[in-house]
Amino acid sequence: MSTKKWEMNRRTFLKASGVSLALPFLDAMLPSSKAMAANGKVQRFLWAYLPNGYVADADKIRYSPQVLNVLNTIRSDITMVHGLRSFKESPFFDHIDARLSFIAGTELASELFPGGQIPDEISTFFPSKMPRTLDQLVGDVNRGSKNVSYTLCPDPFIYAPFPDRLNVAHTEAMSWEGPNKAAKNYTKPSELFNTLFKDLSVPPPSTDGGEKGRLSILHYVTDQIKSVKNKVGKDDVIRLDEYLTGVEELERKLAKVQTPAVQVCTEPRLTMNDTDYIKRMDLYYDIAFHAFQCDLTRSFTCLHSYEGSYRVIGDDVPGVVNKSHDWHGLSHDEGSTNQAAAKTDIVVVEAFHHNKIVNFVKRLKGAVQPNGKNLLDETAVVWGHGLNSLLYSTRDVHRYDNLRVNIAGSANGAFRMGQNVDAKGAPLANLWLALAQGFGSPITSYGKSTGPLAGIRS
Amino acid sequence: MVAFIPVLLFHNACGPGFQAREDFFLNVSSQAPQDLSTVNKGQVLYQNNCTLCHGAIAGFVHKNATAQTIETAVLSKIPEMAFLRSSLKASDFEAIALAVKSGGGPVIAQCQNESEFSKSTLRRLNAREYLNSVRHLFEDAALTVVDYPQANVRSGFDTHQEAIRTFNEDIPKLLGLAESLMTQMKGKTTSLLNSCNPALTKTAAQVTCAKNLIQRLSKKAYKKVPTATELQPLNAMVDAGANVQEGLSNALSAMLLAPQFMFHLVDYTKNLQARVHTLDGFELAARMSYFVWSSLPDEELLALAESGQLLNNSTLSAQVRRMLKDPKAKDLPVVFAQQWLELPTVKDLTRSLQIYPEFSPSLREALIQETSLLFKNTFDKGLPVDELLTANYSFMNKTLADYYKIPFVGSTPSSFVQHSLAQTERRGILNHPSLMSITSSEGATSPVKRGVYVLERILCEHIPEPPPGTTTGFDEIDRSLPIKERFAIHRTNRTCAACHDKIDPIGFGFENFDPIGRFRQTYPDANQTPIDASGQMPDGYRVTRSIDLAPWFADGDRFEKCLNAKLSSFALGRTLNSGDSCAAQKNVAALFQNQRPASFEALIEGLILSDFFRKSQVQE
Repeated sequence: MSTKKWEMNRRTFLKASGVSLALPFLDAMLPSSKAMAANGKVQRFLWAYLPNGYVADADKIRYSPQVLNVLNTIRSDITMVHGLRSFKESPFFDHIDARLSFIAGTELASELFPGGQIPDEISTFFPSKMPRTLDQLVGDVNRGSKNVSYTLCPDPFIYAPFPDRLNVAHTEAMSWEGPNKAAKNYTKPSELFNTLFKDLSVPPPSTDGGEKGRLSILHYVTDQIKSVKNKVGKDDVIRLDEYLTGVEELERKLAKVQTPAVQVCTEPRLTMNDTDYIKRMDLYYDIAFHAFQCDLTRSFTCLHSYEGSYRVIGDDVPGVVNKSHDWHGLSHDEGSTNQAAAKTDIVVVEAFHHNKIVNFVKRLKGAVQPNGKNLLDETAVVWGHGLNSLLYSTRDVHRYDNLRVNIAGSANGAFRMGQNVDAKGAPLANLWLALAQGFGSPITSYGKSTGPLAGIRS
Repeated sequence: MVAFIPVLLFHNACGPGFQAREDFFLNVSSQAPQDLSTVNKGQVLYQNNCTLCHGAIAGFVHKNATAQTIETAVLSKIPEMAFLRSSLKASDFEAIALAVKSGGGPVIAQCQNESEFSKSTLRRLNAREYLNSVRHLFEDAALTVVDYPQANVRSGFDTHQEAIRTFNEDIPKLLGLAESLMTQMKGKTTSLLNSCNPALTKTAAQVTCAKNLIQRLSKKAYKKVPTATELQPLNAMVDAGANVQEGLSNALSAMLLAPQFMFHLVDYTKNLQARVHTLDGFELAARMSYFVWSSLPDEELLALAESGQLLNNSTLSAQVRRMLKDPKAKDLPVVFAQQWLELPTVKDLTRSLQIYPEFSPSLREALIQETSLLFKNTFDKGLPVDELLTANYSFMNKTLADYYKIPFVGSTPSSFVQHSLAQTERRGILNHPSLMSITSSEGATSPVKRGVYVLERILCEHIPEPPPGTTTGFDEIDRSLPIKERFAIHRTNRTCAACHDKIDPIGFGFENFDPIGRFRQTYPDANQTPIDASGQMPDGYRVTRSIDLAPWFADGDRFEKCLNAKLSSFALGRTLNSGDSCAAQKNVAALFQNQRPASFEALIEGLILSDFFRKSQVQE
């Protein structure tokens, strides 16, 4: 059993963690042996999605001045890529498709509607086309570190255009282990915190038999799953395999652990607010920061919200005038008395969300490690949109060209910083491929990529 | 013209090579007879090409559409339909026009093919089912379960097969829960564990007692007679334990983690040739008990499953009725209502306390209860389900009666008691403040949101997003005009009218209810503009005030059909495809022949007795 030095400080950590999770950097919290990527470097990755696109300025290439002001504060640590394309057009489902095509680096819509026909089982179509996503590939390279994916979709009242036909869980997932297997979404910060910081998450044995009894229990369950697997259908096997994988993993952990080796944390009792959207977003970035600092994971994904959300933005974002509107509605100029007012509001919302990410980037930069590097030196924070807001356009439609993605942090020198890159209409997937390769992944294609985007890697 | 019917059939059997010939025949006769196969073809074409924008065929607003008008719309007039130009032929427009005239009726006659059903996939028990199952298994209603691992289900039913997946980190929690249940039982003198007289030493009698208990409980937990390979290792755990208590605890924990308990397994290997699997008695017992009770089948059901009698229709009917009367069924209408209408979202709505001081947490809770209780009352009393739409009464506690400004007649302020609403402008759930609040924005009502919600939730109509390229055109409409007139001008745009002809009259019909569902006569603007709730439905039905909406919704069987579809989706845990919907509608149609108006009991019994419920399509 490997002893992690930071474990002994966890109580200190927890006690110090209020809503703000204020945690001083402690040498002792570093893991005893850092997992190294195949290329020998520590590289971290956070991949964020902002819905509803950006309101471009008149030339259709630049961000609004308010967003640019925010990005300018990390000018030397950022590469801004523009002129990317996700897909040409989507007759329907463009919002979900924009997001999933962004993630998958493909053009799901044209595959879905080759003849304009709508399959009955739309809900199974999108998931079946998802690749192993970028964050997972980064995690694969960084063996020994845990992959964590989570979402920031906090809206309890959602409006999915097809509530019965599209499973919401699918369309909210950003991280995919492969087709039909969305990684777990953490919708509550407390749950994410527990998963990351509660070590093995194995409660102490409460039965009299102790670990020996537990192993016999798990052994029985493993046998039973394997036995019933032979009788069920192929889709059922996937579900049983999910269950089996978990049981086997716990079995392995328990087999390694000598009784009563698992040190258990009886907390945490953080005063976390799981219901407030903005506090939740702050907490996620807080947790991500500490998880990077303690090297509990190398890979995060973060869906700030999604296009189908009916969340009223007035309460979330200070400075919004039309308080009762939702983000997506604003992007369609819905209900506002004039376009200018909608544009003012949506720019405020955009700048607000960019600011959350930029603050995270700054925080990474401020965290100097014992090796002299700061956390941002070893990290790439990547964020963008899957479609464009339409307010600059004369027609009330979203656009899927001229997409923008930002990369902050070189991930230990893998990526060039402080530049503007014109992708000249290249597919988004080309950028994802360049990033994956920069992280040491051996893949040679991603989604519908035609080759790694030039000018990204150092 | 009878002669060309075989040609059509021939075409259907032979594929696209015969298209030209079919076109020729249909072009020759513009007066095609309304034979079933053409209507059905039209319905399929409509389903595949038109539903997305125009909704279900039954609700298609252009009742007078002809092949020519449809063809003109597609080929020249409506740019959003351009993508259909290459795929639809002249004969297709004829068929669609015929299908539109038929209003979707004959499709029921045609849906016979079981292989059209969508597939069911295994799902782990959800939190409700797990709690009920362990309580009923161990006959201890005091058992508690904390933090059962289950992702947030934000919309739809928690029974949906996609609602719960298992992640590695869930397993330690599930193990912890099983162990916690053992600890809880150990502390109780009446517990099953103690029935075997645990002691530090093991006697032969204690071991036999423990093994008997395992045999009995595993039959219940696994919803079938356990096999030797399932039972023997559990017995071995008893033998291996330092004492009986320890061995029994381990065996029972193992049972609670076993896939036979966690999932409703369906064995497809019994008939490898079949494309459709008919549930055996045990599989059926599990499916129906988890539907009606959200829990394990009881011993009576298992005994009937074992003897095979459960597969007999009259026995099955009797069992459904027994189950519905059992106290374990009491949560069904409430759970169903809350998930169908997403009632708990009332708690999360943002409302200014300055403007709506009464919209307190306790009122929000009462609003959820009010709607749930109307479902419960309708269910418990066996009333026709239309009662949900037409009831001129409601269940209120003191908080709610104060909100309604009605004298509270109950004895204690917290109890919900029936109050008459006969003298008010409210009927049924449509005017419940819960629904009126959910469908409003923070500071204003939204006729569109309300219209869409009600059409989608209550009538199962599909209202698509505006087609790409659509502009609302609102900015070009004179702003000095009243909102209703601006909407009317907006509807002169044909693309908008396709949906808004339906959405708007319903949405405006609800305008008398403000963003927290209070009745109002005027808008809260400076001029106190009077509200005009009148309008005309696409079928010509006139609405003069909001109270007129309920009869329109309750008319015919459309509400029953939608409720039944939702109930079927809840029961089977899957999204209904067109084959499923067809079968679900067939159940309603059959019921309507003899016992309209249908009660929940009739709908549930009809569903459970149908092939739709009793069969599963085999996964390839």
